[in-house]
Amino acid sequence: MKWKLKDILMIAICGVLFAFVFMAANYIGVALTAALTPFGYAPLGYQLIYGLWFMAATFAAYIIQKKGVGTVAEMLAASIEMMMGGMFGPMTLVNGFIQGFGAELGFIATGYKKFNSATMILSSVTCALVSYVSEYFFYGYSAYSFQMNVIMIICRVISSIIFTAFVAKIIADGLAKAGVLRGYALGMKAAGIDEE
Amino acid sequence: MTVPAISCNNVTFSYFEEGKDVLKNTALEIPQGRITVLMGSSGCGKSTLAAVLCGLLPDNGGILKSGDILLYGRSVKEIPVSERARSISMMFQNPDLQFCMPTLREELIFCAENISISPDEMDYEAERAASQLGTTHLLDRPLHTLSGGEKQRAVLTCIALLNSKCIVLDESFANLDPASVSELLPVLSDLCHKDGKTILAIDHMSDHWKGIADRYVLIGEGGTILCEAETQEELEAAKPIFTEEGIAYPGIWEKKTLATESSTEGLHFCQLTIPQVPAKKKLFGKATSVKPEYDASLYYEADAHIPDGKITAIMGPSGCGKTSLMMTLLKQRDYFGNIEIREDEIRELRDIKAKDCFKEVGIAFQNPSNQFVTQNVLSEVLDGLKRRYPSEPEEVLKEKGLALLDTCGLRKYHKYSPYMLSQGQQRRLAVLAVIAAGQKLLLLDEPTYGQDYKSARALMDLIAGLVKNEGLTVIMSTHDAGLAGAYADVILHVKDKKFTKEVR
Amino acid sequence: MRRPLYDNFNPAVKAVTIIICCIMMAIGGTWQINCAVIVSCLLCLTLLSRCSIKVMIGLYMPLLFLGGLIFISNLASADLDAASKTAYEIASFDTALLLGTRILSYASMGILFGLTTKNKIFVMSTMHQFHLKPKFAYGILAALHLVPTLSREWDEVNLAYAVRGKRTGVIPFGPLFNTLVNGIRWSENVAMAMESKGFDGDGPRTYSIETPVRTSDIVLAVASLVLMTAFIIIFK
Repeated sequence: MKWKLKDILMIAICGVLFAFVFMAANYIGVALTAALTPFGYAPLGYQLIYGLWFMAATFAAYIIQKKGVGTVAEMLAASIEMMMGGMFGPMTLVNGFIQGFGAELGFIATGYKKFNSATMILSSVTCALVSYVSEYFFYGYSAYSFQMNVIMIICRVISSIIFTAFVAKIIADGLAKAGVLRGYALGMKAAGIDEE
Repeated sequence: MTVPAISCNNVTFSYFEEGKDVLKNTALEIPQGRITVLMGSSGCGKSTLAAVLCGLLPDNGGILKSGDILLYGRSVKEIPVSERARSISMMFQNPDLQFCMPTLREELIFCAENISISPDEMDYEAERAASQLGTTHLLDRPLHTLSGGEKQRAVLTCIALLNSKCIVLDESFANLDPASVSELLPVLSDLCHKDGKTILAIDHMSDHWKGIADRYVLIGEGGTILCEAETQEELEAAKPIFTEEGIAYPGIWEKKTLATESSTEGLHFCQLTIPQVPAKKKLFGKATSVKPEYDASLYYEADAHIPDGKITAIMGPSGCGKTSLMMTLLKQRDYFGNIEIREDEIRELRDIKAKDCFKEVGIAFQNPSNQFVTQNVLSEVLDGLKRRYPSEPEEVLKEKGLALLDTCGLRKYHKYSPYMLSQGQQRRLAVLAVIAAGQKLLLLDEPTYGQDYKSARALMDLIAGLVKNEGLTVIMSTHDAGLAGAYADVILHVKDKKFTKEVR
Repeated sequence: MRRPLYDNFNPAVKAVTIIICCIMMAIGGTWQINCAVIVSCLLCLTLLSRCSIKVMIGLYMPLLFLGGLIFISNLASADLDAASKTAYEIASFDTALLLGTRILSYASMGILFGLTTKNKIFVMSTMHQFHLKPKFAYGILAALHLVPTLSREWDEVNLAYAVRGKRTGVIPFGPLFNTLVNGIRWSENVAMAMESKGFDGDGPRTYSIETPVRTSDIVLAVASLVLMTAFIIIFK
């Protein structure tokens, strides 16, 4: 698609706000990791809230509903997170690309025609799986047993469905209803109101 | 004869394919080298017109259904964006949203890059523009620390660097205090009458343009021109049209008599001192701080009485701590001295828990969209009613809520999202939502900022009604002396870090 | 003496170097390699950069905690009886150390990049070296510079929720919604303000900051990669 400056700014500003949420979520992740440590399940701590980090892709793709939006949006959000003091530097961009592309797969599968709950769930699942494969390699999950890997994937997919599919959709629908998305595909569908 | 700076003919513009036309066959001509003031009530499409004239719309959305805009005789569509800035540039209403760089110097260099000035000349050009506008001292300060007036001056510096022949101001004064406005006006006057720039100012009132503007144009619904005036006499003659359109003119606000009664009930500030920089919150225990010196305080040993069941207006230049006072009343800032609530008994604000304080005090912010907690107009009010009458059944509350919305004409929108309402309606809803919870003290931070006369009047009438019928106490900060005079029972001026009560 | 070698490293080349190093480290996959990376990053930060040591320590603290937790978690299950052991294939001291240091080694490279790179220069460099379009580059910068304004609004929204007796939850979706409404409205406003100043996202422009790739950048990149290869050969 042809990106306009205001579309880029819209996603970038949302990215800044998501970055605030990520900072808060980081503490939750550490707390969950600590809570699960005595049981030997520390690696699950972050898996449970991972869906938050994929939100930018489905959120933007659901609003703009065009090819490539998911990937670009997730990379924009990743670059913003990195520049706002993210720990993982340039690797954030690589992860952003992989996650964005993972989410994009769900939209590709539906031919960019249907943008409903089913598409969002599909996209959140593809995103969770694709990103898991890359992390299996980068974080050496092969050291964990098969059983542990299965538990991790399940947690990640559930968290992804909750945050990446449902929360992102609820927020975007709310924004459309609030009339702030009138310039975008999603906002066009929402009913208008005549001013006083 | 010279070509007009801007001319447009038969312009019809809509934001959506099926939506209503915001501009309908608008025709307008802006002559070179003069200050033209374009006035109209909110929602008449004047801001849309400004953006269309600058070529920012339909580039950023919407459809130009007919007509063409000529900038100095050239069609705006044919001029590339970077070249366009040389002929026309715009200054917007919200001073916070006009920069993409952290400091003015970097912003100026951004502008220079946009119009392809060579890198060796950029610094010189930036210094030149800054010295022309008297903003050299602002160059390296972080932009977000500047006041609204300074930010708008910074925007003008950018325009000076771009050397745009025509400057369009879209309600650029709406968020500024009168002192900043009166500093900016001579600058604009010089830019026009000395440097030969063309200025088109969109405004919802004419007050401050007196003596500077060369021409006034009044537009109505759909961007149709209602009347034009070149002299004060002609403007005077157009007053009936102003009233009809709900546009303010000097002396439109009547004066109310100030309260003189001697009841001592209400809030008392005794030797109140508020530090300029709030003490940092500590994780454990109270922040230990010492009472600040005169120079380090916003208020210093100030006394005042805010009577119950009345409207008290607090006035003073921006930065004198009007908002900080409200934050103090909401227990968000520390203070020295006493804030006493004298009713049947005397309570000290310091001893009241924040949670209990919020049961009695409510606030309406400048930006109403910051305070909606639900997605629906009725729920906004219901949320408060539920807190106030926890035992009442849902149905009864709903009726109450609808009745409350009816008091200011919002009932018909009860199913909509609060963000769908116009700015004026949003502010009224914000007030209703606070009142619904049974709050006794309402804080209003600049309630009519950026509002035209009609919306300001509707909001203040609502508040005056609530004060009269429900015994609400209101503290409002405002820059608008006319408004304060028309509605306030007590007017407190902040001067030399103390309160002075206005007497008439 | 601290030399600003890494601070002057071309950001785009630096980013690519670090990404390649991360991939090599993932292939390597031993705790010895991880530790070698952590130590070299710390050395680079203290000797080849002029970044603030205080900030560096502040960033490492929570990471040490997290790495420690993962280490303990893995170690604990290694010591447990056979029943719980099933969760890990080769639960051992080595595995625990590998997984615990892994997060620290990635973050070390991230911190090395973050503390030695200015955002604006990085964005300029991606524009010059990777041909990122100006509208993306300046869009990102504009959004970043709105952070003070956004956080002011964020505080106000949270106060409004408190005053109205609303709890915001651990993840504050309510205030996030309000701020998103503002942010999206602003995006159009800022875009128009930038375009009104002559900003053309695709068109020609001049640049006040050039970020050329110098020989020293190539040398530093190659040196880093050689060091990484050496670690893999020695510690694998």
